Amino acid sequence: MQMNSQFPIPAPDAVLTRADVMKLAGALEVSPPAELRTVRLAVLATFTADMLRPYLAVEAARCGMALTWWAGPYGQVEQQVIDPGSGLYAERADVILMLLRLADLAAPEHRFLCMDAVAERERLKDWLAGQLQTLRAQSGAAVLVSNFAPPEFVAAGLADAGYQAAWVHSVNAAVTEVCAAVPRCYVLDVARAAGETGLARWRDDRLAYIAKAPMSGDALAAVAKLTARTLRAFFTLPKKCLVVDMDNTLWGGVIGEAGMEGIALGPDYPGNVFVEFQKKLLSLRDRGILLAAASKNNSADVEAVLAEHPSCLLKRGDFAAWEVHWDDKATSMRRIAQTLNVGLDALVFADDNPVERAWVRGQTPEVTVLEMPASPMGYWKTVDESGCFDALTLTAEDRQRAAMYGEESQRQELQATTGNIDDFLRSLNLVLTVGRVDEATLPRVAQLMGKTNQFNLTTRRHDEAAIRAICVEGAGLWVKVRDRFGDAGLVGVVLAVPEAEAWKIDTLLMSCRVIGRKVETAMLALLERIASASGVQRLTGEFIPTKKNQPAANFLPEHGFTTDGGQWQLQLDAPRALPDCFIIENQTGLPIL
Amino acid sequence: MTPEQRDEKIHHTLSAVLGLSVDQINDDTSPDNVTAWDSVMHLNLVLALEEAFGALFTPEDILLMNSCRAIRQVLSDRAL
Repeated sequence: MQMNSQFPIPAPDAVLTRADVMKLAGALEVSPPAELRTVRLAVLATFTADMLRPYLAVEAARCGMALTWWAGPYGQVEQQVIDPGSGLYAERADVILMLLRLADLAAPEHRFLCMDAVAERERLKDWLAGQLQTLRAQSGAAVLVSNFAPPEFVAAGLADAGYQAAWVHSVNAAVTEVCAAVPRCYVLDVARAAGETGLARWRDDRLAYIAKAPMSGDALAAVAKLTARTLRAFFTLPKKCLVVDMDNTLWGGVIGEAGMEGIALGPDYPGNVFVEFQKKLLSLRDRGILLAAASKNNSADVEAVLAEHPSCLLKRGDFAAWEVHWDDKATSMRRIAQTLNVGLDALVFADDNPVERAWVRGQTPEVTVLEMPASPMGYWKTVDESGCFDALTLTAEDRQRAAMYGEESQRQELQATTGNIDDFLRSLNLVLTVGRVDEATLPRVAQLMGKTNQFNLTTRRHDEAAIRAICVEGAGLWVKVRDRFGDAGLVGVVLAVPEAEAWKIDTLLMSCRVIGRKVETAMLALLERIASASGVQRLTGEFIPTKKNQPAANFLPEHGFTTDGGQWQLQLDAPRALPDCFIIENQTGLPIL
Repeated sequence: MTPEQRDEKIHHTLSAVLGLSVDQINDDTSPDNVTAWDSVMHLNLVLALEEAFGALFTPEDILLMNSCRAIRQVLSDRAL
């Protein structure tokens, strides 16, 4: 973490006393360090939540944010939400945090046996949906809704046998469902935080009875940490790739010295610790984070472990990039970034060796280097709590990503055996589907706009509301691409807005995973047809250079746009031919083919 | 812990939580003369003292601890 002139922001793993937290929170309030991103937070709670404020201020600072705090009067959630003139809306918050307790909303716990559990759940669900829809209609803020901790008291005693807790769990499932249905509403998983902290340590009876502040010090710290991490995920894109070392990271010992039988990897300690870490890495891969290998070894030795060791869960195919040789690891980082078509800043590096970490940190400072603990039992916690891979939602594309990179290496092999690019593209049996941006595709379109750096003419980062507005006023198209090796999903977006008699290309972008397949030419050809069909005779466009979008620099002149120094212009006389490597599926509902 | 060490620890905790320097803290420091010491801050102060002294106060203690002097009294009654 950066240092500030007045006080240091504590490292993520630094243990703070409560007095430290209070002191730091006070200092942050007086003079928030300039490097922190200001986030305006509004809190609506059914109980006294103000004790959370200093804890949250400190955790937010650790996550790179300076919070401003506004809290509605406790127990007045509905009043604040329903009144367009309320303090909540006047605050113009970036994020609204709803802290709810079941005891304050549902039929009382001690009468659980007398209540119609299903009807009560439905009533809560309807109530929450109503609140969120009212909020959404009046505010563009992101909304975080806490779900519910397990019951502190069960009405049936021993005979409950988990029934009442299962009901709370079903209410939480309803909360998840309601949030998923309202744009930019997300769950704050307090239930999980309570479980991790322990229910006996979650509530402080004394504070509850004295001050209607039921959260214990431990609970406050846990909710603050979770909230800060979630807030950071609103404003920070997750990293794309975890680069791992092999020896003493994926197994204990050095393969080149100990050999296949000598390394620690198996059912007993310490080998089982490494097996467990490998499982967690596979879960990362499943959620769309790429894995890459950076190891100083003979590649054949390492490949043999992955292929033949009975306890090695990770296989060669799980790695989207492979740098196993004796070259230095900063060079490996650069090659991995190149192979994956991502920036160095998309990489996170995990290596047990502090010398390697220091080298990579010094040579390629864009790479996030994790400070791995001495014991491999702490490896996963370090990776997880770094927050590098935190994302608020997973899209279908995220889940398919690892498989797609595997398919990409097959394509590259095919290209190597096919001489000419057009023959190669035709041999892929490419299918391009085009459609208009709608509510179903909006989240993915917004995600792509948020993270596409390379093939992106303008790098505009519109949110969902802005994209929706453009689609109403002008045109918003998406394209999906698949071929005989697999489905790349929704990978291209083009947005155009009317300007004078022309359509101006607001955005034209394409995921780097389909670069080099004429998808961009097809997107432009499709836009031209839709513009012509709407009676538009001219397209205009601009290229806004960034550090990363060089691949799109010549797109406009290469496609016949001309300029006299200002905007690029293209007269729409006859529609451009669609590249012949594609079969087009038209889902726009417009006669454009 | 000697009474002096105890008092030093109380002053240190009050200073950190209330955002005052240690020499601004004395026996009479209380919500009456420190604006920051409101009811919410009081609870956070109590939790910080509990952690610092490894203590667990009763609700009665918490309501009583309304000045530096009263805090010292509660802790000394508990031989802390």
